[in-house]
Amino acid sequence: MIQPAWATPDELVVLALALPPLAVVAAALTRGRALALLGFVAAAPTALLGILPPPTGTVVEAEWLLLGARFGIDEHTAPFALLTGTLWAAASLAGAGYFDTRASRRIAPWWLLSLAGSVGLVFALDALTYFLCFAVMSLAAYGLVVQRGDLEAFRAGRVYMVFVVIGELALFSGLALAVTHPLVAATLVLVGFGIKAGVLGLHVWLPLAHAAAPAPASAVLSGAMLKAGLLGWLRFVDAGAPWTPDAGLLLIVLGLAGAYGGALCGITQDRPKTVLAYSSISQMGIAIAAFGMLLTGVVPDATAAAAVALFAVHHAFAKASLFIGVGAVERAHGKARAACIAMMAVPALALIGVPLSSGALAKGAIKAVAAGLPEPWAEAVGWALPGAAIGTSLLMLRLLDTLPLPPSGRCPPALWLPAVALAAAGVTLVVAAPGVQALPTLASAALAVAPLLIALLLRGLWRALRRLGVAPFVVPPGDLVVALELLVTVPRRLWASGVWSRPASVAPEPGPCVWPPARLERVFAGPAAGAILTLTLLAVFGAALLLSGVL
Amino acid sequence: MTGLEAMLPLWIVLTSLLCGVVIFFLPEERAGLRTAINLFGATFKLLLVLVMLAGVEDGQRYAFEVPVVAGLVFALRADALSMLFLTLSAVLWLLTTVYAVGYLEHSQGRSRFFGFFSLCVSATAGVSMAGNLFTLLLFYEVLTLVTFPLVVHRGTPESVAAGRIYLAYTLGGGAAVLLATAWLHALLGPVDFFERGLPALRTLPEPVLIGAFWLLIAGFGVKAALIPLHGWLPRSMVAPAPVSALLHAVAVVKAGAFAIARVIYDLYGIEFAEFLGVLKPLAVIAGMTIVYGSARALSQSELKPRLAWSTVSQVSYIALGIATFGPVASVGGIAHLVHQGLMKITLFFCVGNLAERLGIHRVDQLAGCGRRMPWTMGAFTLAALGMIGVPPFAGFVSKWYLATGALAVGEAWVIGVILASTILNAMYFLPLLHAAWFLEPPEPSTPESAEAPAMLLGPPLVTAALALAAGLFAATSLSPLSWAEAITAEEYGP
Repeated sequence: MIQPAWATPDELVVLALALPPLAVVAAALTRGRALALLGFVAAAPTALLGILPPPTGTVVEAEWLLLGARFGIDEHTAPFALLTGTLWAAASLAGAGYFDTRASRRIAPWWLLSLAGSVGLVFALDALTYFLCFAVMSLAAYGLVVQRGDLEAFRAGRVYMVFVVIGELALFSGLALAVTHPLVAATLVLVGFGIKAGVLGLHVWLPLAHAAAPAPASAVLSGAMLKAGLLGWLRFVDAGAPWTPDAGLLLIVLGLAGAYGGALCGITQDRPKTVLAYSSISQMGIAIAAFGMLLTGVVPDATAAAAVALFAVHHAFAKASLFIGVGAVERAHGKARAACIAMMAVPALALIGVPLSSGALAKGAIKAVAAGLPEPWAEAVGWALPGAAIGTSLLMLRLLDTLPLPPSGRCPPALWLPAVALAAAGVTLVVAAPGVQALPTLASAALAVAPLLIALLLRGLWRALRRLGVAPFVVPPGDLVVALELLVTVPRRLWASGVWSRPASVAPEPGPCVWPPARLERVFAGPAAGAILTLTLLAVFGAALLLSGVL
Repeated sequence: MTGLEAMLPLWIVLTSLLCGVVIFFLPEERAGLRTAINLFGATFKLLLVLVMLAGVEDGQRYAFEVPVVAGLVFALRADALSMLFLTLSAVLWLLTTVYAVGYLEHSQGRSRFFGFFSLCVSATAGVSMAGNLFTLLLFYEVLTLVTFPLVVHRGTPESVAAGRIYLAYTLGGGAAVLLATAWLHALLGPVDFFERGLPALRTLPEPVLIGAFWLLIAGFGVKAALIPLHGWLPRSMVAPAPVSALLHAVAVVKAGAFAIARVIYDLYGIEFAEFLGVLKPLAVIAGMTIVYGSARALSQSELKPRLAWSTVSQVSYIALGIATFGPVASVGGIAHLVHQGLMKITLFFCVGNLAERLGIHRVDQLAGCGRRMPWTMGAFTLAALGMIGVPPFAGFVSKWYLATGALAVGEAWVIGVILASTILNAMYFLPLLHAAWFLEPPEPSTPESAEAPAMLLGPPLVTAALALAAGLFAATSLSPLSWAEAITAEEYGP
């Protein structure tokens, strides 16, 4: 650690924590001007603390905050500070090129609030403070998801918000139950952070939100915010409890299933950001599996945690670079477009994990951890990872196919430079990472490139099939959420059509997106509503009291 | 302590009382003088309260007693619990007065309005400092009578009907309290409030104690809007916005909740009440009210009824906390007395502003109003998020203490109540915020900015800031939470 002469570690942490809220205030006073500058300045100290971390054990007590908060540096802080700070700083700059003045001023408060939460949680050492920062980040990010303000963005926002609220409730009750019901509490904490990390089954908000958000926001959503779920797990899931090995194996299975499932859904998508979102689900699946290995308790904790963190940093840089790159390609024309795409090849290859890339480094670390697992797990993971690389290769090829081809346009440097910087950061990671990679042998390099070649073959096959008129399968963006939405809308439509009740013709439909929908309103507002509600409540309460054995 | 200082409780009640009486006799057109008297009275009272607050914190005891007839004593006392409620009502009275002056600038009957407004605050102060059951009953009834003219202030058929229902409910409740008071007096003589319960009370037979308890709860539960006694509250939102604000935040519903706290803590004593087995049923009723109120709020398509049903739900958090036999949950309940007041008064102020400036009354008219009234909607957003229980707002602190406190004493069902209510809170508040901030205004031709004038904007901004501060700085010694902790420590004892 290089200790700057002018500030103690405590002061640096306080600076990193204090700047984002000050930026929020500044944005409120200036009515959202200078978003890029404010965002960059607010996030930069965090990135610096990630690059030159003060010693672990640095603690800043804020007894006055909420119920007494504890911030500081622990063994997980440095990598997450690095990725969070760098991504927010880069994405803020990209925003200067992406947003017009009006959009920039509208998004400014949500952007900076979300940034403040995201930076805060990196340093939040106690569970309640982490929960506070997590909530601020997640809720404010709603403003990023719906920024475009069309119906698609609102749908994405609604799904996003439902999952945020479920996650918040899971975390709230998980923290509250921690003392009395540890097993329930741990499950709830796993679920609460799992929603953010995109565990298979809880991932459905992710493709919609990433596709709807503006490109710089998608970059931080995918790069920084998903990682907050991982960091929450690393910090607050007790790896020593008796049930954790089972949970660990479950997470390995779910994670690998997500790695493949994300790829399978992703290759049928038609829009570049949806493809990238599914790639995030797929990649987070690998990180989730790595965390599962940590929970099994048979591999060294520190090594496994370091592997998770390394993978998180690698994915954050690569994926954010790609998202901003997509934003750049949307505006670029001719040679500039070609240059953008060429630049995007670097993070794309890193995600696939070609030799000498950050992806190879991170996957190597995870493979080393997996080797410590008992059979058949070690072997299964050993085979699953290259298989997932085939999926990622397919996704990256699909991304190339779906990139827009604007007839004209001008891509400002503020937009493409951050993408280049992030790609470069990924490359630097390979050089700077502790334990420099040995140059791969020719055989291992060939093996590592194999997934890409297989993917090219499969893509050819796929195209041939399509040309023959056989569409293998198509997945709508958001996959399971479409089924969930049907569960809600079909009964509502049946109700409205008069199958279950007399047709609704009285009140006109309210404007778009106003809750509650007229139908529900009528259900609750009828004269019998009070009685029905009371009876239901009596029944539920009676059951609850009986169950808790107090009557 | 000089005699004058010892009589501070009386001066505090009299300040707003005199203020009200003087205002009644002012001619309608003397708006300036009336405002001056109002503001002077409110500020002066706040100063007195702060002086007494400092005294109580130093351990001084303020008491004023005067016998009325044989065996009945009019007693005012100030303890920590009184001070919590009293300070809240003094602060909010000042802010609401400022707001009301701005809100009613051109309406009729302002002398009557402000007169009764002052009397109402006077009665609230009396309720908070009542030293025995008789005095509490007295002020509780006065409160009913002086709020009625405020509810029917507009004089429309709708508000008169609402006023009638309000009167029927509250007088019925008052009768129940009267009955219980008379009963206990007949058996015991004077019924004083005593820290951790009146010792003499424990000599009475159990059925009498339980009967009297439920009579008192039925009486005070009307104002606290416990189901099935809540019917008046959603209807009385026809009153002008400042009245709704004060009614929902301090004056009426809080008087009920506060009186329930007095009965449980200082009449029966929390441990004795637990022994009698009356706390659990009360907690269950409160829990049901929380969920029921939230569910009904969801179905309201107008803003004020939605807030009114939300009050039904939120006030019962207080009762739930008090009726849960455990210090941590009680802290949550008592702190929520202040937290709910700050958040709900903000919401009503803001809704009043929306109605005044943009004529918005319904949920589906909110589109784009955040852009046109950014400060008003900013305050509304803070308060609504607080109501949902998002950290770091005050509502989160209440819910956190209630949940962990109930779990610590094995009442796991409470967390179910809190989760259900939080989901419903999110469902009926978040769409409003979405519409306000992210939807386009319906007619682009309307003036872009319609922000409320300072008199209407200042109060909600201050209360919203206080609601944020109460949560953000909950761990500091000045917070409502620390105060509630001190009160609970006294009531539970070592």
